[in-house]
Amino acid sequence: MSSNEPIATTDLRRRFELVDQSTLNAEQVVRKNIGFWSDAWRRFRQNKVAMFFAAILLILIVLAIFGPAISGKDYITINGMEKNIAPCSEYWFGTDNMGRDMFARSWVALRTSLIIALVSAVIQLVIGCVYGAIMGSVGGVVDEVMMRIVEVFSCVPNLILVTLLLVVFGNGYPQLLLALSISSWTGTARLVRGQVFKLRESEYVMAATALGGGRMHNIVKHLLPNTMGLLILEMAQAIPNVIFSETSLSFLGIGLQPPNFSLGSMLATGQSSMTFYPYQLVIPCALLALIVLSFNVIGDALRDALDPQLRT
Amino acid sequence: MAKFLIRRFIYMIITIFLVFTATFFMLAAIPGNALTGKIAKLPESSQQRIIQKYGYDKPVGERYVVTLGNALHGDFGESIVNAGDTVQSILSERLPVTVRLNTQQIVFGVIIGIVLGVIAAMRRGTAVDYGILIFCMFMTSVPSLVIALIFQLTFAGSSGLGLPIIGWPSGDELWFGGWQYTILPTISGALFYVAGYARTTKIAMLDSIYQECTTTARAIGMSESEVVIHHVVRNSFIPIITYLPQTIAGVLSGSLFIERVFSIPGVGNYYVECISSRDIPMVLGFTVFYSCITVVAIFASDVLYGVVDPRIKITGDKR
Repeated sequence: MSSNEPIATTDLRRRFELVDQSTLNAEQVVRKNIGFWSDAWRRFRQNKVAMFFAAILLILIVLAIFGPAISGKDYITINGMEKNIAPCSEYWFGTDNMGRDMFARSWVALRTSLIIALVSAVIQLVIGCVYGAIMGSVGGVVDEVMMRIVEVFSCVPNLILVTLLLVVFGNGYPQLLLALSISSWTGTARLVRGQVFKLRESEYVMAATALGGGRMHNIVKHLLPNTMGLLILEMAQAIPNVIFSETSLSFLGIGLQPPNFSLGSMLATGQSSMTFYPYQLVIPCALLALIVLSFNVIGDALRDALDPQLRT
Repeated sequence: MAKFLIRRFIYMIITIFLVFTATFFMLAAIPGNALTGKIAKLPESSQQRIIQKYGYDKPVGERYVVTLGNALHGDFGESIVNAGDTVQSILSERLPVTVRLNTQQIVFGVIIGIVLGVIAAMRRGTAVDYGILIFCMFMTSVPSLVIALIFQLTFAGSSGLGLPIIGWPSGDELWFGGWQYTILPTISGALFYVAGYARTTKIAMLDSIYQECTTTARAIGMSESEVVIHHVVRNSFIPIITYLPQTIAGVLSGSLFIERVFSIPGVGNYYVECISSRDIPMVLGFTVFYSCITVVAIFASDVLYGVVDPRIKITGDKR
């Protein structure tokens, strides 16, 4: 220590003790790290409307699984003596024109619609992903040709395409699932293709490749996490769309044929007797509206939670 | 521009051709059609004659060439189920109905939607805005099929407003008049689009409200309504126009069940009957017809896109 140091510094030295820097960790993160998913979940939870509809959706799903067992009535048994009974303590939702318990029938129909929607949404997502990934990663002429095919698919109105496919395949669950999936994968394919293209151009993937990351590394570490959010949104959008197409088709009498039934076929029977027994129409209508509404509200909330570009 | 138009036009033709081919071969793959059911009870020799008359005894390849040749002249053949019906005769008979229904839906949906969107954007943050928002959320979420049925239940017949439950004006009133029949189908089919347009307009308006030209317009002393009409609304037209072809295609598919719900004698209703009875020539004809309209609508929107927004230069290599 030299003797001609300014007074102030020597004064400070006298009053304070020097700290050994090596004992401190300045880089330490004090607050817990919030990952993308926990952040998204936090945002979603803050959305009260979405939580409300999530609860409704949960109740509907539980009822679709256990509903028929609650009333203890069979949904197939035809009872000629008890036709068209309005909702009462015996039959909570009344009975239909063949004397079948509407309560049990509604939940079974809802179950059918839900299962069809879920499975078909998954199928179309898988087809779309694979197709889009091939388009994006191969590129060139293959991409051009595959893109034309996508365009042909999207030039036929959706419902027309599904009806056409149903004529060809025949009626039944697997055929309906296939037709609904084939007609609506193009959006996902375009999305995934765009995502792959975007990623191939991006600097961080280039950096990862330069650092020795292989193709698998890029797919697992960069492509999947970046696309996952978008795919969840696609799924949230696809489910209500499929429910809607399926009910419309069954309503028109092209979808499921008796003895299979869904909310759509219940709407059709409800319409024929609506003047005298309006409850037969109102109940499936209400269920359908409620389920599609909840899916849509949740989808919107997911968009707010998952899309980084929408964040404020 | 010309290069782009020609290129898009060629793609359009290719697309329609592919739709035709795919539909033809898919339909040819069905084991039975309307004919098999119709002639099942006839003796063997007359069965052969009828099959020959419709040309189903020939191999698929030959049938394809013949059908394609005829289709190029606009002839898709005669209906198997309703003898005498051709695609042309059905179109001339039923297309006016569908066109009127769809036009009314689109006009109603677009106008009300844009008005609601403008109001929501001008009064943003108020109760009016939230009211419109909730209305839109509800209308996009409830399937129009459900809305149509509920409307029919509430407003038609002896209950409610006493509007007719089913039916459609005909004769002199085919294009104009007989409004009481058209009110419910139009509104129930259009509400989805009202919501869609309200949302799109609102977002586009909010974008252009904060642009500099709007501020300048206010600064030079234009009145508020002038600013809104000349700058804000005009600048928000681009997203609205890109939404139009979707609307046309959607209204077309939507008319399938709207026509069924209200028993409207339109093309959609007939198409569903053809599908149910596997009336091959008619299904082929109407599928091609529907996709033509969609393809043309998409083409038109691409062109409009370039016309409306001078900033977008359409070049030959735009994809």
